[in-house]
Parts: sequence; structure tokens; C-alpha cells
Amino acid sequence: MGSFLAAHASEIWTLTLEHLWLTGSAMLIAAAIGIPTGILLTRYTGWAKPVLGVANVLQTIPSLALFGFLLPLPWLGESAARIAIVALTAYALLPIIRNTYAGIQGIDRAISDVAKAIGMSGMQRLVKVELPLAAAFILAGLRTATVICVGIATIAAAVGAGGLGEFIFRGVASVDNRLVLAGALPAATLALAADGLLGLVERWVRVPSAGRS
Amino acid sequence: MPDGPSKPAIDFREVVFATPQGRVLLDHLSLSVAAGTTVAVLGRSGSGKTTLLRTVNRMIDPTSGSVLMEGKPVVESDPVALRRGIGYVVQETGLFPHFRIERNVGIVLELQGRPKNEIVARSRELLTKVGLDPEKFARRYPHQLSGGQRQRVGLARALASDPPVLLMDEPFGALDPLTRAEMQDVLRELMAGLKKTVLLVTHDLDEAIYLASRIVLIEDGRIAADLPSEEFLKSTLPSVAAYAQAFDRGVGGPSANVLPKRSS
Repeated sequence: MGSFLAAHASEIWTLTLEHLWLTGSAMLIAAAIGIPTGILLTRYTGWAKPVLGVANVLQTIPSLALFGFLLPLPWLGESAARIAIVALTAYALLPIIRNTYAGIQGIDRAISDVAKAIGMSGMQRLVKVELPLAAAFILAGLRTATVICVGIATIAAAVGAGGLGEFIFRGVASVDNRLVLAGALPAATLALAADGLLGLVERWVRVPSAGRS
Repeated sequence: MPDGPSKPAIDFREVVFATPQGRVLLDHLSLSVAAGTTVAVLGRSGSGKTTLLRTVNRMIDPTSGSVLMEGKPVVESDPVALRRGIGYVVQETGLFPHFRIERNVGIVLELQGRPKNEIVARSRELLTKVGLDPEKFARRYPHQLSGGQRQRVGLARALASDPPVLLMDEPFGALDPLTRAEMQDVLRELMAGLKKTVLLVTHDLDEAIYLASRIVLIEDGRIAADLPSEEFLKSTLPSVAAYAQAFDRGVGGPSANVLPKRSS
């Protein structure tokens, strides 16, 4: 095992970085789309059901199939990393949109009402009251999405996008459990680390006895 | 009208408010509130009293009729600017849980973009005024205070920008009777020197008599009685008598006994 690790150390490191890059970019894009979408849904609640429905359907598509669907598309299909990032973004959207929406909707009505009645503009309400009070909720969504993405990113190797899935697919093909573990263990560690880290941030932004009804 | 010669600070003219479902909450209601006076709006739940209050700061706009402040229809004012010029007090739930007490008090000044040192000084001054030691309370969060203390903070917040008009919606409704009486004293003492126009929505008859100079009883979106507080209990109007009687039974001890004991 020691010699195996020594032989593959640099490759494990490279693929871990690649894995991080795929997941990280997908999460940034998903947050950039998902959080504003969630906020918009609280302003136009009639859209909440259809939009969350679409995000929900996206998440039910088997990941391998989604990678396959994206392959023939122009521009996207040219780069495996692009496919992987778009697919991962799609999976990350639901938890992020849903938690942003639910986090803001769940704020005690009396508090939103007072914010308005003492003269906060729509933007001030959002920035000073709604986002801070929903922050822990939104972060919980980001956390769920990150853990999902770290896992699904291993499958991106199937379309040649790299990441720790490379080891797993190679290991399965050559019936070498050491290779499978070389991909699976770092991936699991990444997921746990991301979960722990975001959990800490979540605790840090949690409001003492937040105004929830 | 028993009011003095001063012009009305708030003037409701034939105000109608109907919900989109067609329920009429305010039915051609007209009422003038003289500047510097406290008027209690009394009525049972669903009578339209809160709705009336919310037309003043444009939390809702009337279906028809108009509301004027200092002679100017409120619908001509920008709602955000209008609301910053009106003090607003609600039941204890109204404090922002993620703001320290001093920021809760100074929030309206913060919205107006006043300098930070001015906000801090003003909020400490107000905390002292409502009987909370700033050294002890300014840096705390609302959940670290008792219900009565939170209500004092709510009062301080409403007074922060020194607005001429205060709207109070069941301000002490969530408090136990002893704390409520204590808060009523605080409010009365505070208001004595300030010459504010106060519209106080309550269903507590004792509170209305104690704090207001005039009581308006609302039933089904209409004014059922409009009397100086000291005459309210003597009124022979059937709806007034019915309310007073129901209240006696509700809080133990006739209101007539409560009144002389607490009037000063």
C-alpha cells in the first residue's frame, strides 16, 4: 500500500485539485443563480411552485444520463469540464433556491412588517433584515448542495472531465480496489471537510433566537 | 367636537377599505385627530381598528376616501419617506432579533443616514428615558431582555427620530397585567412632556381610558362612539355599554373602580 501511495501521490493530488475546481466552480455558479432566484421567488410567490418544480425535476435526472444529454450540445460538448460544471450546477440549484426561498419566507411576518412600517425600502429590508435572518438557512442549502456535488463530480470522469472519479473508473475497469479507494477516500474526505467547514460558518451566522414564527 | 382649536394632525375622510374578496373593513369612516392629543381606537378583533391605523403610514391604501396628515393626503407622499416620519409601536415581536438593542433603537436614524456617533448618543439617551440603563442594555440582543424591557425598547425606537405622530397597535397586548400597567405609566409619563399626536389601537378599555383623552369605538368599520375618555363609561350608548360590560367581566373588577384608582 505504501509503494502504491508513493507511486500515485502526485496524481491523487492533481485529481483532488481538479475535483475541487469542478465542484467549486459549479457551486459558485449555482449560488450566483440560486440565491437571487430564491429571493425573486419570495417577491413573486406565484412562481415559487413552478420554479422549484423544475429544479426538482433536474435533480431527479440520473447524473450519468445528464452528462450524456449534454455531450452532443454545441460549445458545451467541446469540453468535458464544461459539461461537468453545467451538470453539477443543475444539481446544486434545488437546495440553494429552496433554502433561500424558505429561509426568507419563514421569517416572522411581524418582523418583516415592522421593517416596512418603520420606513425600510425593499432593498434595505433584504440586506438589513431578510438576508441576515435567513443566512443560516441559505448556508444550510449551500452545504447540502456542496456535499451532493462532491459526490456527483466523481461521475464526471465518465465523460472525461477528470477529478477523483478517474481513479474509481480505472479501478473498477481493472478490478483494483486500491485504485477505487484512491479516488473514493479523498472524495469522501472532501465532502466531509466541506460539510464541516460550511457547518461552522452556518453556526457563526445563526442569529440568537432568530425571528421565526 | 371637544378638541381645541389646533388643526387636525391626522384626518380620515370617508375612508373605505375593502379586501380583494369584497369584505368591507372600513366603511366610510371619518375622524379627525387633533395635533398633540392621544386618541384611543377601541374595538373588538376584526372591527377594523388596525386597518385604520395602517392607512396612516400607507401600509395599506384606502379603497376610497382619503387620509390626510397635516392637511396633505398621505397618498401623495412616498411611502418610505412617510413611514420614517411616523413612530410605530407594535406588540413585542417587533424588534429585530439580530440587532443589538442600541441598533434597534437607532434604526430609523440609520435609515435616514445620520452619523454614527449621533445615533449612538441618541439611542443611549432614549434608553435612559424609557428606564433602561444603556451601560447594561445597549449591547444586548432582544432575546436577552424580558417582555416589558423589549417593549420599552420598542417605544424608544419609535421616538428616536422625534416624529410628531405615533401609531401604536396593541403596544402592550402581549404583556402580563402588571408589566402592562407599568408600561402604561412609562408611556404616560413619557408622553406628558412631548406633545405627540398618538393614535393608539387597543381592545383594553382600561388602557384607553388611562392613556387617551378621547376614545373612538369602532364596530364593523364604522364609528359607534366618539367620546372624551372621562365620559366614556357614563355613556348610555348601547354599544359602549355593551363593550364596557363585557370588559368588566373579562378583566375582573369593574372598570369604574379601576379608573379613579389610577387616574392622577
